[in-house]
Amino acid sequence: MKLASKIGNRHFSFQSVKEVLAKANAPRSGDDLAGVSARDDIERVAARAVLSQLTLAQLRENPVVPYEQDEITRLVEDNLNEDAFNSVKHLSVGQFREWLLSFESTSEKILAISPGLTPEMAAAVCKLMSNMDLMIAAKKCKVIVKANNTFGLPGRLSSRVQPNHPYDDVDGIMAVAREGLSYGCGDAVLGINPATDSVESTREILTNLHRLRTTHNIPTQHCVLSHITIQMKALEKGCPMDLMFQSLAGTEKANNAFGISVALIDEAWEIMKEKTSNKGPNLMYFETGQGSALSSHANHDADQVTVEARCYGFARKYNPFLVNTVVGFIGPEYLEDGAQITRAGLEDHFMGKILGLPMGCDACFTYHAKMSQNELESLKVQLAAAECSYLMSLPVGDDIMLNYQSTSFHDIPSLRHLLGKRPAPEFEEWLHTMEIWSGDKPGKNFGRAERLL
Amino acid sequence: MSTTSSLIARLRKKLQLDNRTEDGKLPQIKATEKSIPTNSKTETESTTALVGIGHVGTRYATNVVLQFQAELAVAHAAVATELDDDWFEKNNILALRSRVTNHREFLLRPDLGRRLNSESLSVLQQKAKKNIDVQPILADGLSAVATQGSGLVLLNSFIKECEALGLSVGTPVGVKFARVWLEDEIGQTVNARVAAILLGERPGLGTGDGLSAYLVHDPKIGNTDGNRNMMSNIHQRGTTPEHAAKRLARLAQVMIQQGTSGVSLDLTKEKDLAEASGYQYREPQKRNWLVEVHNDIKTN
Repeated sequence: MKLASKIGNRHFSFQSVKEVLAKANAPRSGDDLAGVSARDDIERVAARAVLSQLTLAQLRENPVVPYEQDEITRLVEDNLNEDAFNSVKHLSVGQFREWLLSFESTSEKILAISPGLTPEMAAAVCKLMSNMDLMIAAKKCKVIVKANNTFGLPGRLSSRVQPNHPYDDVDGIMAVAREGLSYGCGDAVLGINPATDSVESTREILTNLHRLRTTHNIPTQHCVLSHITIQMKALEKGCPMDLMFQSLAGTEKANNAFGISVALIDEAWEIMKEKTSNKGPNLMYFETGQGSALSSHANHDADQVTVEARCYGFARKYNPFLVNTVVGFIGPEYLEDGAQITRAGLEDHFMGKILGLPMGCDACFTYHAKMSQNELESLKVQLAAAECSYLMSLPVGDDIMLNYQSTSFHDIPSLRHLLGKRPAPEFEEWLHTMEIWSGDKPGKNFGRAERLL
Repeated sequence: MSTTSSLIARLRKKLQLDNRTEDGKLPQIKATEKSIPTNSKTETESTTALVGIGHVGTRYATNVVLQFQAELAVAHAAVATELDDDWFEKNNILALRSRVTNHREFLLRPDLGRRLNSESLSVLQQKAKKNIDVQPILADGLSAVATQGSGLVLLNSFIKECEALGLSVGTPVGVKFARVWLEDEIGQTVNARVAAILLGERPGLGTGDGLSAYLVHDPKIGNTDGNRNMMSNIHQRGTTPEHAAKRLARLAQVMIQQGTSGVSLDLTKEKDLAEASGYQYREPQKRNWLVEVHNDIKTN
């Protein structure tokens, strides 16, 4: 294998496709921590130059974790759509970038070849794109899914209401959920990360959210983000559940650290098909985020963007209703500052979309990362402009249980107003009926949570 | 005024493009209504989330913006604060350092924060008590503010509670630039049955004062999170340091009794520990408003 390039009079050579992929990445503290990043910006460009001339077929032949060692690689390889792959395999990564950005490629055309793409291909082309490239190409992909409402339509911006509570006080959770709904948030899901991972609290929260949803005929979904095994037990014991959740990682070893496997998610999906309270057909909700594999020493010397793309290769098997990247959640050791978090959010959204997923983003930072509120607001606007399917929403963006800063109840109507976006259609109708929001105007009940008591 | 311009003025008025009063003056702009009742009192007392804050257009009122900025500044300051190099010594705690050399490196290299530097390792080997039940460790973690705040109270209460249960306690040590897993190397070096690290937790908005505690049985390099039990939100609004100390001492005792910790530790029979998992009575939740303003300038 000869992988070499020359920049000016400096010569560079690379040992493997995996090394080229890693060194082509935009700067990232997590790649430095993993010891896989380029030494400097010139080597970075040298790697990108090599990458630009690899063909998609060569990327398929060189997954970052070998077929024999990893079930995610096997899942992707064994389920790849050969017809779709054959239509793009001859393209170089550089040519693939140009096709994605050209007037020629439409949503239909991109989504038609999507089942023939491996995660490594999505990651590779991502590394050759600027932030605005990522936005332009991602915006083309209209991934439309359906549960109790229709999600991902063009010109729409949805949100998850995330009323987390440090000790799962149901009154506190419901108060925040109502507040979010009164600002027009919650059309993606009413989803709680429980503080206590128990079957009882999962059932209790699900039952209360379901009551809120049915009392006011709210066309949305509800979900408790406990471990999937806990949710499976809750379903077995009987309780309403519109979406089943799990965090996914990009390698088999990292998924083991999460206590999951492909077989387990297969089983959970089957139970969900039988027992869900959701009209369907899309039933699952997954979260991902750069850095999770390295944090369990399971990245196999691959860079965190490529490993992130592999999460989407895993997720797409289950036709999920929601997927989102929790982009700045783990901390500065993976994404150091505003520039890195911004870039990663746009990368993940793009990669998820071209791999055919209804991709949202938890645009967020922890308080030990170097990011300001203004930088986060800019990222929200960029994501919404790129037609990111949904963002999170919390009171002032403050998660009082997980201790980080995300999108707020006020940000969602602000972004809709700023960019002319609308909620999911069924939910929009409900907001109109409840006099919370009509067309592009607030109604008399905007911000009045007590109307939902 | 010419006929044309008065016609235009009337038209503008009719189209609501102009809000001038009859005498042609601009009206006084009224302060925007933003305070809106929300939920019920008992419910808003059940969360510290900023609900019921109203809105101006789709954005926050000015006082909310300032509260938010103050809280963010407090959180960032808590992360940026470093322990004074002699702080542990002054408080009669054996002072150690991880392999981290500066604050930025501390944030970016968790691996270095999980190991002692060679000098500290030999200090520990020479000066600390060996073969003990519990090794207490106080550290900065992600908030030196929390450590300097209630860290000493938590450490001393924890030692007292352990001794009350008849457990032998090692020399209290303090570590700058420490991550949780550092308890493995320290516990292993002094041959402790349980290592307990008490450290500043990742600050939330406006709350740089929280401590977390992580306990591990049979501490040794290579343990993972699955081997540990933890308790978070140790501060006046959550679990008080005194209450946390009692529970942590009991946790150490149960670990020694069962000879394990983490996922394989069975707490179902330990009522006093299960009680602290989150379902006991709590005081109503309150958010502290940080911003107060005084303005003594006289206006005519």
